[in-house]
Amino acid sequence: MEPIIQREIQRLELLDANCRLGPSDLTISGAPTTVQELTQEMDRLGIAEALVYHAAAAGYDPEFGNAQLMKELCATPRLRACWVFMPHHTGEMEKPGRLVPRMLAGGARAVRMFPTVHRFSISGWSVDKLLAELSGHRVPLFLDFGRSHWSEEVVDYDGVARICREFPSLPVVLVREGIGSTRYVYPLLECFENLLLELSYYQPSGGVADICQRFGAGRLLFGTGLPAYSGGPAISMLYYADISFEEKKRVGGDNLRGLLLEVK
Amino acid sequence: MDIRIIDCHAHFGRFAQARVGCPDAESTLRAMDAAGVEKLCISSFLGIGPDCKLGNDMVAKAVEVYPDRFVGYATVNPNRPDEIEPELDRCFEKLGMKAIKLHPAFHRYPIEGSSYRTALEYAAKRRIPILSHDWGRAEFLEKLSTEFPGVKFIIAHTGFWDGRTQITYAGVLQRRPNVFMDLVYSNIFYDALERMVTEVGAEKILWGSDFPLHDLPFQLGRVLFAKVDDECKRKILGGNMLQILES
Repeated sequence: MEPIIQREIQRLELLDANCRLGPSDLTISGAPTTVQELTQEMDRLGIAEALVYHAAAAGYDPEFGNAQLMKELCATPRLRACWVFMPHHTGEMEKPGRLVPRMLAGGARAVRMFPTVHRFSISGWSVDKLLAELSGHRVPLFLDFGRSHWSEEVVDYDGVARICREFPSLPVVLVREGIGSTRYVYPLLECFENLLLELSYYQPSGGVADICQRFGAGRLLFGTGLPAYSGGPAISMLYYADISFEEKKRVGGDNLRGLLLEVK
Repeated sequence: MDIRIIDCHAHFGRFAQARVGCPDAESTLRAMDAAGVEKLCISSFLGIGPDCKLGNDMVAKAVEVYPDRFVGYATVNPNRPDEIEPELDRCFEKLGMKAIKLHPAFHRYPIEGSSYRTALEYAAKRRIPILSHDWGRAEFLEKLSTEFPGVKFIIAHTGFWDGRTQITYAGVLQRRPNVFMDLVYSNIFYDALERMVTEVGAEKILWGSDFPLHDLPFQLGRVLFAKVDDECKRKILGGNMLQILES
């Protein structure tokens, strides 16, 4: 095996699409949870930038966690903010018409939702007002169904298909898909051009090259799952994937940079 | 860094629960070459699933064609105990297998059940290494590894350990020279390998991938990027497994 050369990794200008700031209930001692610790670990691994959400937004309260995120990220341009949203109906979050402009004014350009952890439906009667607002601004939506193992049937794929169909301008990113997801996600990728996969847990043998060949390199986003998971495996998978350097660069960061630039 | 990479826990063929990207020997070899993996120790999914004999035949064919690249695990089905000894005879006398793979989970049979005793006694007579998906209670593994000191016992999937608790088998690993753990797991938790090295020592840890379920470079990244020295990486990635196979 050729050694993984730090300089080669840096040429990919990696932008980690799946990174978390702050401690979660399972975070072990020594894991990077502050801005300083996280950027140090990114330096060690050769990751240029990261899209980060806050652990408190997922594990405690989205509004609280989003505010905490903006406070902690202050003046760290290599860490880009991703807010966590829930539907507004219970009054725990602002109505979409005010929430989304407020997020954009604060500088965040992506949204992550946790339908399983936060116990809400992704049916139209629950999320469509919010999704219409996100779609109008072309804000990438990261859907996290809380998968902890590839064999779990946790993803509402019919719901994902409906969202992709109803909101074709909305970039929809499935995170932490695993080796057991391929028979679900290939037909979805075939049907919906606005669907993308984040790669921190998607590791079928040759899977990156296969998706690039079938659907194009524009459908994949590099991600690590730091700090819950080790950052090295996703880098190694991309580095050794049987695709061109240009494709690696797109998957490694340029695809996500493009999506964030398209936000209106 | 000059390192020999030996995958102690891989598979062969297709898999019912997931699409497999490299289902044959040739595509497997291409993936091994791209990742710099010298040898893959394989059992077939057919063998750990519905048909041990056909599965063992598939592995034997791959080993026969590429003897320098594949090492064969013999598999047996504990639900058909009368077939175990004859099948092991066939595997080790005719098919060139080098180790035994047990899968109590797929065969839904307890590792402490009497059928597996046949395979254990067979391994003890011939000093054959055994990899099991699961070894049950740590006390049970300690008892076995003491009773059969000539057998190398490999605990599969200890990569599931996320560093928050003690490693279940830490005591057995520390006390018993013939017990080892493999790293195979889909999730790769932050800092877990570094903590394993501290807790049980690099000489007890074997790299494996579960290929072709998992991408070889993804699973290699667990070790390549770990904050351990090159000597630890050398042992984990292949040195330890080579010693087991050569002994």
